Amino acid sequence: MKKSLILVLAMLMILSVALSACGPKAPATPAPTTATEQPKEPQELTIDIFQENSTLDWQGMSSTGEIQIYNWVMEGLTRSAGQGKVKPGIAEKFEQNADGTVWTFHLRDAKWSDGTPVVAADFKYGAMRALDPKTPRDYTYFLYDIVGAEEYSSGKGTADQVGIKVIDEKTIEYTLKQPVTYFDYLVSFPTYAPVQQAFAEKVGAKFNTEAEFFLTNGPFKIESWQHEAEMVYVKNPEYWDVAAIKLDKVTGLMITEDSTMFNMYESGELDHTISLDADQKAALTKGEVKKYADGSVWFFDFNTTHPVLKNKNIRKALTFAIDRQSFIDNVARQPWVPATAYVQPDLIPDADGKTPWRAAKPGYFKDNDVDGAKVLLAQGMKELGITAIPKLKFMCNDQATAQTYAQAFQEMWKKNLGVEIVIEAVPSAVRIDRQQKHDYEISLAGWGPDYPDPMTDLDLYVTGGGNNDPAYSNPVYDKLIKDAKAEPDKAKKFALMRQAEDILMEDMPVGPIYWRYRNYAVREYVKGFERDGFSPDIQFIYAWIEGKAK
Amino acid sequence: MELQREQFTVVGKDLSTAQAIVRPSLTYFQDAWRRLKKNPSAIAAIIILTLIILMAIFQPMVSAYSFSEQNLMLTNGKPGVQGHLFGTDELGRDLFVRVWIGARISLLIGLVGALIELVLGTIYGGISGFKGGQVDNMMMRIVDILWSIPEVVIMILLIMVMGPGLLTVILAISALHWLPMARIVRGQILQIKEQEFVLAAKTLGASPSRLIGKHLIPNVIGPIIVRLTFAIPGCIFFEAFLSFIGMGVPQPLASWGTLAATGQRAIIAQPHMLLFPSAAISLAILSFNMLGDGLRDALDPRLRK
Amino acid sequence: MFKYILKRIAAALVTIWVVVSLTWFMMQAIPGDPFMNEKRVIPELKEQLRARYGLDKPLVIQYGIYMKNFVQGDLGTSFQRKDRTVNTIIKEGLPYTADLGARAIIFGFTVGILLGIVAALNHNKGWDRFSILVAVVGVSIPAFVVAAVLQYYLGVKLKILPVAQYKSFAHTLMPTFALSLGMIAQIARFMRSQMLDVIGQDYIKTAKAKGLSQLKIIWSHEIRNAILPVITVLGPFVAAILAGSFVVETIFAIPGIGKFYVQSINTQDYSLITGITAFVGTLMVFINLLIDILYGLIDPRIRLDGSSK
Repeated sequence: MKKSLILVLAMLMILSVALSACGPKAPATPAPTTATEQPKEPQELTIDIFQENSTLDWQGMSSTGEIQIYNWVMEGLTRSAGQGKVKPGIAEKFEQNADGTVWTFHLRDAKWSDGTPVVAADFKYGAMRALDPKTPRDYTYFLYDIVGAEEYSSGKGTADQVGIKVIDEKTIEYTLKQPVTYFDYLVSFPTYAPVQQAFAEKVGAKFNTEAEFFLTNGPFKIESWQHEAEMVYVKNPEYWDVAAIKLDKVTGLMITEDSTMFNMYESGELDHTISLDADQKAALTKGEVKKYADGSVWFFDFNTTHPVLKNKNIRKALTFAIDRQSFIDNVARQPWVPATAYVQPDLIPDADGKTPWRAAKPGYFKDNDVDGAKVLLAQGMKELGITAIPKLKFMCNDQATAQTYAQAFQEMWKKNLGVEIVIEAVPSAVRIDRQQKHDYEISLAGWGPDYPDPMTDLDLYVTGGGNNDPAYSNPVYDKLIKDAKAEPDKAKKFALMRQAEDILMEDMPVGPIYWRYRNYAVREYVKGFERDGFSPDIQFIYAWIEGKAK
Repeated sequence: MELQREQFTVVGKDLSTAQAIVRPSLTYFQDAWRRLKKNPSAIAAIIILTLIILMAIFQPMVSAYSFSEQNLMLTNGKPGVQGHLFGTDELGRDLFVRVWIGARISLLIGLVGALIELVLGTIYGGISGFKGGQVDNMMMRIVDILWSIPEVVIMILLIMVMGPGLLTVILAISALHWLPMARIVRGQILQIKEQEFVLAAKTLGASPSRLIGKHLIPNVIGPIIVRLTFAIPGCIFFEAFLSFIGMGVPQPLASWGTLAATGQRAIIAQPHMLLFPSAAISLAILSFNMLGDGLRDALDPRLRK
Repeated sequence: MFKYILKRIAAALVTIWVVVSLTWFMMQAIPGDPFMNEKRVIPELKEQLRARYGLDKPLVIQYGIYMKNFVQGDLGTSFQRKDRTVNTIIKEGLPYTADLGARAIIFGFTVGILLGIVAALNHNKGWDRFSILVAVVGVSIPAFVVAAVLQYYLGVKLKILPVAQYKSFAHTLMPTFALSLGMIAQIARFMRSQMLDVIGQDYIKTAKAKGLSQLKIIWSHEIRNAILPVITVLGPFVAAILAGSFVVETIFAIPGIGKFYVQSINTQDYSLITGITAFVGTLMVFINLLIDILYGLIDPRIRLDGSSK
């Protein structure tokens, strides 16, 4: 019995290696998991999932916390393989047509957790659910690359004009408006999740609201959900790749208080921490410290409609006059990197897909260039015809850390430039809301990448863009972005994006401060546990427990 | 031994000496002060509070460091490092001067909050007690209704509505806090109103203002002072609580509450950031409570010894 | 007596109405829009979301709808937890808060009374000084400091108690203690002074003269007479325990109403804030009502002539 098991597993192993080399757009995947005998000790993990999420309805999800849960219990056509890459999921292979506008996915034999098969119609039903004009959702626009999607969801088109076609039970075809090189990455997102129509209609509005109203097809399924307290996941025996899953049970606790989380880790009640500040790192007595790039860039968001901030030299002066390294070393005390450019150095590749985008141009200015800042400030004031800068309002999150950082910047600007700011600390949701309404002067904001391409950081700032908080408007920039999006030739496309970033940093509607990296702790007996800057963050699917003393 | 009648002499009655007042005649306050002085914990409290207030006023003026002066080279410094008696905080600011600036804010909140209570409570309770009858009934009914509302949630709501700020915090804390004062004042006035000396004064033709000024208030003032002394630490306590939730005074103002809340997060590596503000809060609250106890005993005429 | 109870109930109902209305109006006055989380929402979607929550109707109508729902026991839907109603959230959190609160009150009351009695009987000796020490600590140190210190030293450093959550008896120990400390301190102090008062009274001397045993005196006379006023101050203590639960539940990660309340403030989830405030306010009014009635039953003055203070 054991011999044939090993044989089957070996065949699966060969097959998965073969498949990963097959698909034309599938990038290199991490080594296939070698499943030998199942480990003998209890394979149970306890993690901190921070807090209850707004919703676990796949098509309604938008936050990293929700997306990571999707990754644990569900599988789309493709699945995240970390670092912004994907590997085949329910689709065992896929191909695109010559100009990259039609993608065809071939499904493998996979089952839902109740034993029913996953079929192409499930994927179409899920997508149509996301586009339903009657129920607006946060990430619907993720589907807007599909022909007819935007029209249908805004009520201007009909459902049958949407470019998703079910060829047969195991084949589905998406037709796109323009070539999207990372479409395989997009379909790994919850918005593209399959939903079994029969199940959805049976549970109606209760879909994904309680443990018993979930139908999942991923590596784990939800055994129980105690709201605001914890969620328990157990291995899903119906998962097509269940042999690769070693953990039997994962308990996700919702701990919001940072010190409590750390204390629980130290006392053994948690197997990892979400983050680790400098003091916690120094006080750590168990496990090991790991670091990962969370992909986000944090910057001064300048409202370019403000009478003073509309001048780019003023903006540049403010950006230059910050001592980033000292701030990072002494105030934040986190493993961050000073940012003198916008796009993040580790996670965004250049045209060849391998070299980091940032390598060609690491920075656009010098950190802590106080002298340069003073010159620019004088120039800016002269251009505006003023002799002094009025008090500016600085908006930041109301967390204690954000307010501390704001005060550090306040002091730096006062000391270096004689510019004074008034700090407004508001809840995160309010800050984002006011930024969108352009109801602010300077704000401390951040942006994380959605997909591994510089466009994810650059296309925010086109005129009238929904996320263009500074209200930046430069027709040259707009054209570069538009051309880059339509350009099929990769080298040319990336060259256009490079020009775009040059302009962005010349005009500086946003002044970069730091790129964020995070420390976290994980117990030594937890193997294969990963964190990622791209969603999903926490990845324990292929993890296992080894060497945990009783 | 038997007592014989011859052993006694009749002294007689001397009316003048019979009416002589043997104890020195003290005013209410002189008597109270005398009694208070004998109370060791109350005296200790007064000394401590005076010290705190003096430090709060003067230390920041003479301090080598300003409360907002950052020193990024010396963040999270231990107590005693480079002349910082209490160490430094996360931005390298001197904790010692910040504790005394915090004292200013916290004490201010306590005092102004208590004063607002005093004014509102006295006026409300005074009118209610003085008028009596239907007016009193009506007013007390309102107090009854407001009495059951948990203060905390109203405080939080008010701060959310008015936006963060020092004034907001003070107003929010006193919003429902004046009710006990109103009850006390009313109760006292009702009691005294019916007393004979008031009747006597009225009969003698005293005007209402004279009645209030010379008779009612001096007799009400005892419990008012006691209640005031207890109200101050209550306000300080609430302020610390609000700071923990994140609804305290906004940065860069520092109150003991915000300092302690920041310190609580840093407890594992910088316990001094929690220790000193907490100790300050405790000491102040304790002293006010001791003082209040002492005053209550001292001002109660029945306990006169 | 009956009239007394009726009057209290009427007052309670009015209070509830005031609380709910006040809360609702204040919520409307708060600036900002509660629809964001980490990523952005396109403006057109926002309008649709507003309509879904009925936020586009005139204020007066919204108020009417809210009150109507409240009376029927429906407190609305949470803005942030999109699929869940306020009722569900409160229902799930209430058992934890009630359990913790009950333990804190019973523990606080009992220990406080005992400490007060022992202190009074040992006036100016060992126990008395100890009770003063406890009173000092309990009254002057904010609950979150106590909770943080306990959690770190007992939970992490000494490892004798679990750090957080509410799963076993051991889990309840630190939160209960942190929550009840203030109450213990004040009740001990109050009980002690009451006892001292009573002990000095003439009728105690009479009882002693009559030859009653010390124990009987303590029980039948001293305690029974001292305890009555202490019951009257229970009301404010319940309110204090409630406020304390915000802090204790957050630090010890207990999924109770207090923790939700603090979270809803941070996320500006208006619906949840309003709902919890209305619920908590109503609850407090009921508890005070019960205490009032209880007091009415115990205090012979009220029992006999039906008057209230």
